[in-house]
Amino acid sequence: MTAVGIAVLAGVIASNPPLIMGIVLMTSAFSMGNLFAVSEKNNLSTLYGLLPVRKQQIVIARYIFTLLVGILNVALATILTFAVSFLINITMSNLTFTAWLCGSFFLFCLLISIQFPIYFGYDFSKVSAIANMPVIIFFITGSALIRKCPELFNRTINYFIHNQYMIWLIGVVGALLLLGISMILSSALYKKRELKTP
Amino acid sequence: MRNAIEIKGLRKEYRDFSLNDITFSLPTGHIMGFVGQNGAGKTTTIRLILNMTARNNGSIRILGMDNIAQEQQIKQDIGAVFDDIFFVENWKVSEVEKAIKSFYTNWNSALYYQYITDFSVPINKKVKELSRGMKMKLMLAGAMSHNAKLLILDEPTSGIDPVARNELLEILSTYVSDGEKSIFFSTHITTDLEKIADYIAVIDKGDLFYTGTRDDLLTRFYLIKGGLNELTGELRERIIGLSTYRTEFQGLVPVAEKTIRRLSGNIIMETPTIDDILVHISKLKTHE
Repeated sequence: MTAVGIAVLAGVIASNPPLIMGIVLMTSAFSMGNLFAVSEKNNLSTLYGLLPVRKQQIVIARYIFTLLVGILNVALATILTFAVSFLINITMSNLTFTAWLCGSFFLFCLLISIQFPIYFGYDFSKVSAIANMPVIIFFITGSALIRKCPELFNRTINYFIHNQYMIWLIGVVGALLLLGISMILSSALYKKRELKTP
Repeated sequence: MRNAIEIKGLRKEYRDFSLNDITFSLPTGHIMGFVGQNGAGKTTTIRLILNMTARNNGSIRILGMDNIAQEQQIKQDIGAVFDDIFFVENWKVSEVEKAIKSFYTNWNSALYYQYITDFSVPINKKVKELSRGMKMKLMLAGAMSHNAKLLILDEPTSGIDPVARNELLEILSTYVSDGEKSIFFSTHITTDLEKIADYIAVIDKGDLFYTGTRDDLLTRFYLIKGGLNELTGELRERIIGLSTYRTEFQGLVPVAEKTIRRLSGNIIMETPTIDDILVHISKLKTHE
């Protein structure tokens, strides 16, 4: 709820309501690691080892749950974006809305795709700091690239302006593909992992 | 008679510990105590049985099925309890049932709540608010509510008071009374074994020292005691796990060695307890 409040505030202050979607989904992605924290704290690996359920099913279930949370957050963020737009009297173009929506969802899936295999492969308490490193490196590299090659960035933006269907294709289909690949990797890592007992 | 557990040549290697060629069986309808000191390999063996860790060699059959090839099928028919709770601490007792029942085809909610009532576990309390004994009983209720044919318990009585421990042992004795269910439990509290175990497996530093009936184990050795002046060189060589104190010595000798009395007239030979056997065989390993 705090994250939602901060997101709304940021959207209002920046007079950029779609920013709400970005912040809500990013925060949501980082907080999904709590699933693993709770699991580790409560010895759930022991419970999983006792239940008649395959490790792969545990991985799939966690990804599906996370995806559902992501979709719910997309819905919530969209509603808030429109509400704030209306309240502060800012009009959004279709392109702006689509870009922010698909971009936020893609980022959500990208973050999950990077973090989850690390969490499935190793104890959360040991890797929680490291799991965020690839994401941080990605953003630093991306920012540096944009600054170093503004023409490339502008060309990319122009391309998407003239091929808006690609925003949906990459933002949604590409994101889901990323999640699928991540899930396969997580399954492989989790299968090799020994389940702990208290 | 089918065995509930059949283990042959089980081997598991870690960097600083290994389980070596463990072989034993638990006949259906009986209780086996798996005993050894801390770090002997009891929990490792249980984790291998449950396929929570991969083995390096050997075979494990549970209820007649291979524990890897038919893992999901086996886990429908077994329940397990460990010495610490493995439910989310904020779940209420009623929520524990909701969380796990859908995984089992034979889950019996009425039976779960019957156990909860019989064990006096408060339904509306959160897991974290339960005492250690209550947590054990909760895990046991969960393990027994899907008609499990085999219960595997890893040190279920450690850290709980004598009254709760006795209650737990009574529950376990009743559970196998129909002759169809079996219990395998590890412990280093040997008095529990003396109360309910039909079979015993003794493990020491990764090696299986003994497997068989409890009575057979207790009649296999004599506990030998005497004054230090009675301890001759020949006697010293024959004693297993010799302990020397200020004025006396103690150790084990195989029953077949009853002629040992001739070596020294004033030594005492008596039936050991399981504790005595554990203490002295561990000393044997230390000195090798």
